[in-house]
Amino acid sequence: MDFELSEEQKDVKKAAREFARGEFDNDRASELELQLGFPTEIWKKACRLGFIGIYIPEEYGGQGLGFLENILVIEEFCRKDSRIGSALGFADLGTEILCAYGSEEQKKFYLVPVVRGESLSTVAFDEPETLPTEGIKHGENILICGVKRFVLNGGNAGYYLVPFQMDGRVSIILIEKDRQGIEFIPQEKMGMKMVSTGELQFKNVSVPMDHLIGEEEKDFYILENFISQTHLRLGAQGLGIAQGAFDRGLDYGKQREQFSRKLIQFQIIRHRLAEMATRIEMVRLLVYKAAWLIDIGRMDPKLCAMARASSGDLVVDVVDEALQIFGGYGYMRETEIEHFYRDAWLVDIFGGKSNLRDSIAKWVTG
Amino acid sequence: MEIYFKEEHEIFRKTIQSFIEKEILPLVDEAEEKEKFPVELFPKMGSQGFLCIRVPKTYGGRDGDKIMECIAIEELTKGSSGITSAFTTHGGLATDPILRFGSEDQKQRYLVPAVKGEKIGAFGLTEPDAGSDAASLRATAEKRLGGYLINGTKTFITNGPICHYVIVAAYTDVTKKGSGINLFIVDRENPGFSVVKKLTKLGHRSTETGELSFDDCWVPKEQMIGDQEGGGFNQIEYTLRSGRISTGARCIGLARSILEESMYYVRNAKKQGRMVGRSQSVRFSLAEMAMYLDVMKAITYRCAWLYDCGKVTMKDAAIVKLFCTETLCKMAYDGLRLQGGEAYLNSNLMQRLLRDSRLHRIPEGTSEIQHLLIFNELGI
Ligand SMILES: Cc1cc2nc3c(=O)[nH]c(=O)nc-3n(C[C@H](O)[C@H](O)[C@H](O)COP(=O)(O)OP(=O)(O)OC[C@H]3O[C@@H](n4cnc5c(N)ncnc54)[C@H](O)[C@@H]3O)c2cc1C
Repeated sequence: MDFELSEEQKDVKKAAREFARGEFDNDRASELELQLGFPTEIWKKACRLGFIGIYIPEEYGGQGLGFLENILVIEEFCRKDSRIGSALGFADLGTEILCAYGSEEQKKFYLVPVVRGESLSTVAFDEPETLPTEGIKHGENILICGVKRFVLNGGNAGYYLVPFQMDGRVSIILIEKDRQGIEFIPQEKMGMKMVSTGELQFKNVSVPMDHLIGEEEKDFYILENFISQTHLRLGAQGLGIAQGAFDRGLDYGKQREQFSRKLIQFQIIRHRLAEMATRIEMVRLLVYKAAWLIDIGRMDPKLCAMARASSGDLVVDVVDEALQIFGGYGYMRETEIEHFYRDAWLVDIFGGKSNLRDSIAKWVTG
Repeated sequence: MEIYFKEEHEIFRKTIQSFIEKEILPLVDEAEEKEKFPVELFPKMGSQGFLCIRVPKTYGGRDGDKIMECIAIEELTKGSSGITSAFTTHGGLATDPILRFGSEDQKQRYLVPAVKGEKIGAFGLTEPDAGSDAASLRATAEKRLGGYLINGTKTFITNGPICHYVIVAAYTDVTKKGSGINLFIVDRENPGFSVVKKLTKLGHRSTETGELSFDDCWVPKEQMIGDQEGGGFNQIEYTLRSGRISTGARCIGLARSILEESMYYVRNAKKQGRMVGRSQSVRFSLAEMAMYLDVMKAITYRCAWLYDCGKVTMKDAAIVKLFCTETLCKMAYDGLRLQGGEAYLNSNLMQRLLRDSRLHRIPEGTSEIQHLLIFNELGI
């Protein structure tokens, strides 16, 4: 057993922390959040330094590192600013699918712009149960029809990876955003406002066959792997947001005095901070382990789902308690904890908490 | 609950419900979005006698009881928790001290127009460095020229940006910690008074909250509540005891909305062919919400009844506040988890209910302070 990050991983974590400290500005982020904007400049810089698509092989412009390194970067970014952190944390969403299953051509065309800061990527996954997205063969092309909901980066991704039904099977196809027949309807959210989100409608969108991803028989695994990796992305966001909220609560507790004592001198507050720190440590072990298993080629979907579920519980509880430490200030938008509170919830409820528990239960009970 | 409600209460509930539906609901979304309180509601509420429920008829009030006030607050909150903040502060903290401890002259000049909604009141106790430990407040009122010179800063003041007057707590004798405090009524026109800034918040966005400054703000001695120096802290405690029961009523209003939204979601899913309601975890969640709501109602109205009988203690009021506010948050969290990602969208009421629910564990004594208050009365 070895619980130590490698020297390189420690360096990545440190570099991400320093980058976030140097580049993320709270006031500018607050303005951008109100305008529902994307942190374009920071993103481009993060791309230049290799933080985005860090797991993408070097021949396509990435760093050729592991998924764990990606987790470390997301954690540090979210810890400094949950808004910018989540926006950057989703910037390369779905490229892990292309890395594993894309053709040589697809990788060259679609991975490079993501690491270069020319395009965001995404997976358009969630759909109404009763309205599955469908494809029909039409000559050399496939016609795609359907609606996808809660598409992260929906408004500004250069392309979407879209699961759909054809001939009774699920396949995945890559669709560029400027193809005919695509409409994006933004949906405003309570938090994570820098991540453009909304509904994508595909009306007879014609896409060439060579945009299909992977050999068809593997499609089920592609999706399962993607879901597992998304769990970990979100898990890392939850971890970072929780750590960031904890940091702020602790700092404030050390400064603020009431009844002639620092808040951290009140036992109840000390105990809560102790409890938060303990739970953050537990979730970190789970998230890192699940990511490490991916990197040694033994992805464990159950562990990924557990990591995500526990990270969701954690982040909601920690932001809640950190906000309480701030008292009235915590409720005010000028205090950072306010947006940590709003942002945290996406980690917990995206895709449905009950669904997540159902799938964990399936693995656990057999 | 029927044991606490008389027929007049039931009639009152119906009357205010139809007013809310007609006059308030249409304004809610815009007020929340623009973070601007629709001040025209004050005279409208006043003309119906909905503002300061417990004020006697001699001052233009309806001479209602605490139970009736709680009914009004519950129903108003059900309509909009944000908008209701302004009314509960006005009808409670900003008028109670005048009603109970004020001079006849103060009642004529402030209470009568407040009941009509012609004057909007605010209550300024909290300061940037004095929240839970209110006795450590720094505002001072120095005796000067037959009146008092008030200096200090108050923050998080509900209605601050829109008020016509504010009841402010300041030390007339800084050597007497706690007991040297008095309450003063300061008019907005007073040249020493200013609104430093309007604060933007996680929730309750339709109520206006602000930071207020009192800078050599001179008031004649007639503006002091009570006729001797000192003793303001007891007046505040008295006011807060009533306010904490009102918070219970606010939690009931929000809790009803949360349960309703959750049930609506499950029913609607069924219509779309999704059997969400078959999930045991959903059923348990809804059952717990219903249970919490019932208990909240029982303890809040019981406490209001105790108040009306003149038997309520601070412990009773603190128990209501602590239980209802903590439980409400639990309900909101379960409500969000029940709906998943959909609850995160601005088009869904659930996210506003979450942001609004999170407030109540903080003002009028945080949950931690309520624990201390309850413990203090256990007599160990
Ligand atoms: C939306 C809003 C509206 C408000 N409206 C008004 C208003 O109209 N008028 C007004 O005067 N005030 C108002 N307030 C202020 C409110 O009453 C205070 O925020 C509240 O009393 C807490 O004070 P604080 O914010 O300074 O927190 P602090 O007192 O600084 O508390 C910070 C944290 O420390 C904890 N803590 C403090 N002391 C102890 C202790 N002894 N043991 C354990 N834990 C402790 C608290 O519980 C809290 O978790 C409002 C606040 C908000 C958010």
